[in-house]
Amino acid sequence: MLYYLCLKYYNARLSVYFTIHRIVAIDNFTHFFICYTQHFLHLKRLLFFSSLLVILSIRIVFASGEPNPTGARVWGLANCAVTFTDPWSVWNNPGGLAYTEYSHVLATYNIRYSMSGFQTMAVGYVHPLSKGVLGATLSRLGDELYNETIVGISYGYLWKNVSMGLRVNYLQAGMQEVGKKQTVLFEIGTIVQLLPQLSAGVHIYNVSQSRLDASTNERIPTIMKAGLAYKPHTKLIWTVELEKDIDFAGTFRTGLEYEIVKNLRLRTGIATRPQLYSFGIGFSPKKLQLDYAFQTHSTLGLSHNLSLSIRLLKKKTTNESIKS
Amino acid sequence: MNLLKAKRLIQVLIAVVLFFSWVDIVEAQQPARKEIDLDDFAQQLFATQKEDANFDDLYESLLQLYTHPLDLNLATRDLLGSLYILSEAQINSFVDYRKTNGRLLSIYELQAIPGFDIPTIQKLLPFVTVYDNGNASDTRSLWKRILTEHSNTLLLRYDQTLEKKKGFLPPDTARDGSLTQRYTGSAGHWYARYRINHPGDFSLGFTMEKDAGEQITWQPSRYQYGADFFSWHLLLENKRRWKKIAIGDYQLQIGQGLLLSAGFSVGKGASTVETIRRSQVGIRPYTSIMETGFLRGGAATYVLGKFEVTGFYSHTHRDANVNDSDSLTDSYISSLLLAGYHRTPHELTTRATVLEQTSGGDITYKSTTGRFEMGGTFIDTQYDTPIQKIPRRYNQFEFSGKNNIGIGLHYSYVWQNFNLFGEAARSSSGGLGAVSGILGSLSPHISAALLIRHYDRNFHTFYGGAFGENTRNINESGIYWGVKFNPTRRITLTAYYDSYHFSWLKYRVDAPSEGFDYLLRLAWQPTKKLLLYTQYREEHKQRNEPDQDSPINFITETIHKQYLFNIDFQANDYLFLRTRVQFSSFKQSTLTTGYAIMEDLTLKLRRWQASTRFALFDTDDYDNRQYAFEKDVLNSFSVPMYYLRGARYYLLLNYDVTPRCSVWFRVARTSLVNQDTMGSGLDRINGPQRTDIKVQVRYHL
Repeated sequence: MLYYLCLKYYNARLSVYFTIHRIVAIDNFTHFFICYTQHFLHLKRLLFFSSLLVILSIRIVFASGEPNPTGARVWGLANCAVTFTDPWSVWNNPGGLAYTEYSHVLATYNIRYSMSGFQTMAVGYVHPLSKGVLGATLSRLGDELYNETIVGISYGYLWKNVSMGLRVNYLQAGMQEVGKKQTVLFEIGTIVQLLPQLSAGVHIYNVSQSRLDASTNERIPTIMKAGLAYKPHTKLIWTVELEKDIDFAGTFRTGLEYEIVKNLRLRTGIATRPQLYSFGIGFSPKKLQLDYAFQTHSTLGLSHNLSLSIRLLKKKTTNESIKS
Repeated sequence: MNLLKAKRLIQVLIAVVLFFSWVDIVEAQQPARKEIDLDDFAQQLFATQKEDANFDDLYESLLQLYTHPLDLNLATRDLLGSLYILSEAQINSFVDYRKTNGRLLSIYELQAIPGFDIPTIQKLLPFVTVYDNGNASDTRSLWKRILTEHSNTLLLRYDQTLEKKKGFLPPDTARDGSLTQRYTGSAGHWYARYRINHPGDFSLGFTMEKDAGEQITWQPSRYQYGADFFSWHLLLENKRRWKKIAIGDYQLQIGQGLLLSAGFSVGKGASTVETIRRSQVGIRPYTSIMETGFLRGGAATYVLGKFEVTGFYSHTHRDANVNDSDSLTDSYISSLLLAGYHRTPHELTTRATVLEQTSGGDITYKSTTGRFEMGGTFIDTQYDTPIQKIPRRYNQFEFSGKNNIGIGLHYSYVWQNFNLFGEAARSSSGGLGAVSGILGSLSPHISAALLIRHYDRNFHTFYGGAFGENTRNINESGIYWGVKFNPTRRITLTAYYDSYHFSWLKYRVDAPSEGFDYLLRLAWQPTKKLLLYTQYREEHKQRNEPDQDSPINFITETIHKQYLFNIDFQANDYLFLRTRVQFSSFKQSTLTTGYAIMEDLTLKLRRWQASTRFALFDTDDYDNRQYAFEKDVLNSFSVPMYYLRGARYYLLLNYDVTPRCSVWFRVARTSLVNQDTMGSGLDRINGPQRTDIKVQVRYHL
């Protein structure tokens, strides 16, 4: 029966992406099993299947609606995102949105573990208002077998050296031959400038503890992140971050970004549990910013991300606009 | 009997000391160079407790640097980097300063260089020097220069374990009526060395050693001339276009050490950025007593414009287990032995049984600015008997045969405050090895490093020792990040993270495996006299599950955590105190722990110096054994293992009889509780105690 279930689930590719990259590190047994199978079977497909089998034998995990770090800059820094104040914070921490001074159009594409079912496309628009900054985004993840569509609205407000933000998501998860489920969930975040070189950020995902389906208790994870960023000068950012999901062990992340020559930034990052390493490069000529990043997973392989952002007109008129 | 012998030897040594001290009064006295605490320096560099680290070799190299200080006016980038003290930005700053201001006139000029702060200079001082007029001004013949050189040292050391080890007891009768093997020599460990050197000009020295249990005999047929190990070297430097000429025992450090690596390689340690790069030092004299890993013969480096050409040849006999030929097979070597012990009749039969000839060369191009260098290396090693290991699944891809050729390319490029470096090589088997990294200063307060390596499971290098998790550069891929952060001058935060996987099986790991380890270290020096640091290291690695019932071994993850807290306090001019607590835990199927706490005290009174330690330790198992640096007689380094449950204490006395003559005496004792014996095999002691005594005399002739 279990075998049948597994096969069925495998065919349906049931949100495996959400579970697999986390489950791998959940416990030694799983970990051992994957490596063991990898050694003796040398078949990626079987490895995939066997890990799924283990997952199912432990517990069936539905983890739809996980936060999806967006933008190649964040990817290049092992998903460290909570302290950033660039336009991409519209997805990653609405607390950082208030620092945006120009309107931006954002677009990104990523693919995980080189599997077509695990790809994400997202577009966004960020617009400074007379008070605060508003952003709207649309993301789609997966393929026709399983997919998630998220429409989000973010608002950020800067009050002296503290910025705050709120994000509302409308999430729809769909599975072929099974149906669709929808829910609304909220995120809040803040970034505090502690010292000229040091800032701290906090982000709570799904603060409302929404569920996709109350009858099956299908939860959307509630995740809290806190981090520090150190910027000794404009070329360098070093950030550390802790992340805790109610259901899983805490993750530590750290990332380093350095502008090695003008407009060219190199990035690298490390995260634990699950182990993840990333490298990225960012090029920002004039009004464009082009970023690429890849992440490695020791068992599942490479993931890639490509992002583009275009700076439009500036809304707020300050002295800086004349300079730039 | 042995005790009596030891006492007599001590008496003789004392007589020698007294004689020399009398001679000393007659001669004019020379001011001695200020001595530093090499142990402390080493501790700061290698503060991780890595079980396979070759501390002896590292320490010997450090000592060589100390006795052979760098002339700042001649020092290249490579050599400055090899000290592991300066950041990339500081090296740049130094080179620029020397370029614009010309020769340094005095060591005090270091303070004028931008980016050089007092703590850095203090660390640097013991290893550098500035000669007033260089060596070129001394036009006397080499022989005269050697005869009049003041920097020369004779060192004699004797040590012994007072308790009788099994190997020194009468033999037992085995079941077949034969007698079991015992050590053939005396229980004393003898060591003598002499070295005379002038940095940048010449170095001449010899070293002799007899391990406990070894014989002193004269057997030229077995290549033994008195003591079991004898080593000498003569190194000439900067003779016209000959940069270096070495005869005798030497080592080579080329590129990133993938094919040729010598001594001073720290790798992963508490200093997380500068230490991952190897500097091209070239030929180094060999002065250590490790009986393997060096070359014996000749080597020379010749400068041809922007090229440096090095050639070398080595002809030496190595220890090996040789299986004699029979009707079916020719004779072959089942294993090369690296320990260098020749105590029992069996060990003696393996002594110098195989002839190893190694030859090769290197051509390196160096740009005029010194910012770019690139070279090619060739090395050919031949044995007169083929090596054929006893087949096991994990050693399938190890070297077999008579001949191994390695060909490699190495590069180093300095761009802004970054250094890119790397080396790639191929061995006869077709296996590839490659290592490449970048390190640099991202801001005046932050430096970082990144290194990637890959060594095939069939990559063979006998003299290599490039960066890696494994002791040897084989069967490994990995990536390393290191960062060093000084938010203020008084606080240093260092961290590294290293992730690796092994694509083939290893000893006790019956499947391809992976792992990672990381270290965090925070050091705080609120005043010049007080240093506090704390360190945490965690390692995840896979290993065979112990006590498993399944027919095939399977691997599970092991988690090893190590904690360290340390306070160093210079209470006043005479008294130094150190308190240290170490704790570890190890988890595979069960969780076990280890603990050690120790208090050190050093007292300096004029010509006397006394050091003592008391330590208590309690470790559940071998995986939780604790390593702690101990103060030892000069030129000796000890990092003993604290294992099981018990106490460890030592007393070290040092007396400067005259400025030219110093003596040391050390007694150390470990006593275990709930144990009847100590040690294993022929080193086993019937009793829970072990006491070691050591006497050393150093004399500047």
